[in-house]
Amino acid sequence: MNKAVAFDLLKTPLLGRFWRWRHARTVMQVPLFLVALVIVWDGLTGSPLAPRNLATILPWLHYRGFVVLALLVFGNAFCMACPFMLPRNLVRRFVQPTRHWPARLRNKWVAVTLFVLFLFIYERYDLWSTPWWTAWLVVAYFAAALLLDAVFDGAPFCKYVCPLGQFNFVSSLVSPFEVRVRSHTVCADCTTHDCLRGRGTQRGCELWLFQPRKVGNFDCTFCLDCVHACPHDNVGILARVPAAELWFGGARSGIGRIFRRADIAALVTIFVFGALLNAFGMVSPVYVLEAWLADVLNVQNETPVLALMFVVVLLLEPLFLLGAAAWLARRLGNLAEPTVRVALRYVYALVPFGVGMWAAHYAFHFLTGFWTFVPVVQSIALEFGLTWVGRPRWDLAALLPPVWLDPLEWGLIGLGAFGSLLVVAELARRDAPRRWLWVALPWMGLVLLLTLVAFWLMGQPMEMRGTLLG
Amino acid sequence: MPKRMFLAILFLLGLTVACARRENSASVLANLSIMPGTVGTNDVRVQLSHVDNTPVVGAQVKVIGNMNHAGMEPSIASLTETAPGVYEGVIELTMPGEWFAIVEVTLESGETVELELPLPEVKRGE
Ligand code: SF4
Ligand code: SF4
Ligand SMILES: [Cu+2]
Repeated sequence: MNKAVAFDLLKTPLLGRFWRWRHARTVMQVPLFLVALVIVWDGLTGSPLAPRNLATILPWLHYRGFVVLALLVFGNAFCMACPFMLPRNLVRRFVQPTRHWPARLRNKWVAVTLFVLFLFIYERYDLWSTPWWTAWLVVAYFAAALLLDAVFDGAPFCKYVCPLGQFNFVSSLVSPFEVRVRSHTVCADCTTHDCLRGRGTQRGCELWLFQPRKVGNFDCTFCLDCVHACPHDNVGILARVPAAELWFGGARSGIGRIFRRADIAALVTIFVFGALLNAFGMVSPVYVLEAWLADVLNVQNETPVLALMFVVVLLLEPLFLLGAAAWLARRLGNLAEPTVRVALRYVYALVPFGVGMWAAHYAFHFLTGFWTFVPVVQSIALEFGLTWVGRPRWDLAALLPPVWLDPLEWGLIGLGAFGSLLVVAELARRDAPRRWLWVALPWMGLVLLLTLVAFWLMGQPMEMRGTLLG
Repeated sequence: MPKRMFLAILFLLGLTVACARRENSASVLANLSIMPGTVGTNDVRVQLSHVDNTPVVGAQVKVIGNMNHAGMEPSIASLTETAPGVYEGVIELTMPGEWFAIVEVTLESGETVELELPLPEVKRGE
């Protein structure tokens, strides 16, 4: 995309040097793996109360906050240091799977389903308040990654299954850095294509992204295998215009054209509307709505009520809103394409808004609860007789004074919305150079509508109950 | 080397579940009540007694209200003794939902005791 020599993180003195080292990823994974062990241990054996257990604090406050903030300023940092890939990589030293991932599943539908399921379970069983279930979730994650990648070659778990990975892939569309070739002329003369195939014991890209034809961050775990595999040292982590890949309609290696991929569009839709739904789950109106729905449906159980909400917010509402915007844009701009095609393209414009919403929400928890791990670590230390840590400081919590949080959240949402408006304009200019404003108008309206909803959500009083009903 | 590392990881995973945790038995019994139990300012009253049922007098008592969800701002109240073994104060509960209290007691002897007590569900204010 941008031709000028881009800033290359791999050429920086400290970080660049570290990442160019072959074992950098393992070194980043080991501490996260140890943290995962602590999470499982505390989750299964420690206090069942969420604020007194690291299994609820570390994943739901620190991990989520760190992930979105890193995506905003850098790229897919979590996958880069993913602890789930550590035992998997180890097993791969002995087991070389020969089976290929079934062709019918080489799309995002499984991952989309799991993503929805994850959001549902999170809400239904209130994972955020249960250390025990969170610990089991982590165990299940390790097991699934290990199992699938022991049977199938490549990295099918990351590419086709992992819901966390999909979250990162979508968010990283707006990240300011990407793993990319430094010079296409070097690639043109290359005959070995080691970045994809691997070289000796060094893996090539297990997500089937071929560097010279790779476009953008989608499906890239930032594992840097390609960097180490390239014999010409031609792959870097380069700066770029964030979100600019959202209006790129050409073919991408390992993905194809995103504007033709209904599965990726569905993933993006869930990502965007899920951001609103996830925030809705923790404000007072959700309890009023649920109680009302339970009354109307005449049920006592939360599952059907929640399921109905999910169907409405993640399926019917987007179908209606995206359909209406696409239909209007097509009419106003005299576009030749069918309405569905228009929707399949413009839905990507909502990504920056979605990222802004997730970031605002998770940054909030990250900043309000940052220090809560301190008293928990103190009390674990006391359990082991380390009295010098002192009495647990249960009064510790926020990293920033609460007055800073509102402007920060509004800023992140606003920034996301602004990004979405820009993407809408760029897409529309490509569609109808003369009548672009007409094409853009319905989509801009949709972005503004979602932004208003987001602002409304942020202004609601919070409420925290395990069971939504009762 | 890799094989050993693999075994080490398995071992660590095993340890994870095997490690039992120590339960501390409290030397002080507490009875906590909170009024009216809605969002906003609440009166909190803690009655402390030793295991032999005698009141705990002259202690310093702090109540920390926390939500059953990680990372919410805790509410803190320092209580004053209004009758032998009875400690009272006010606490600000910031949002509706499930709360619990951590009661930090510093006995006259300087010994510290930490108790964890459930709170009734906090309702929305009027
Ligand atoms: S896609 Fe999932 S398993 Fe793969 S690196 Fe990312 S978080 Fe880890
Ligand atoms: S292109 Fe492939 S090998 Fe390179 S960092 Fe991304 S996922 Fe890893
Ligand atoms: Cu939340």
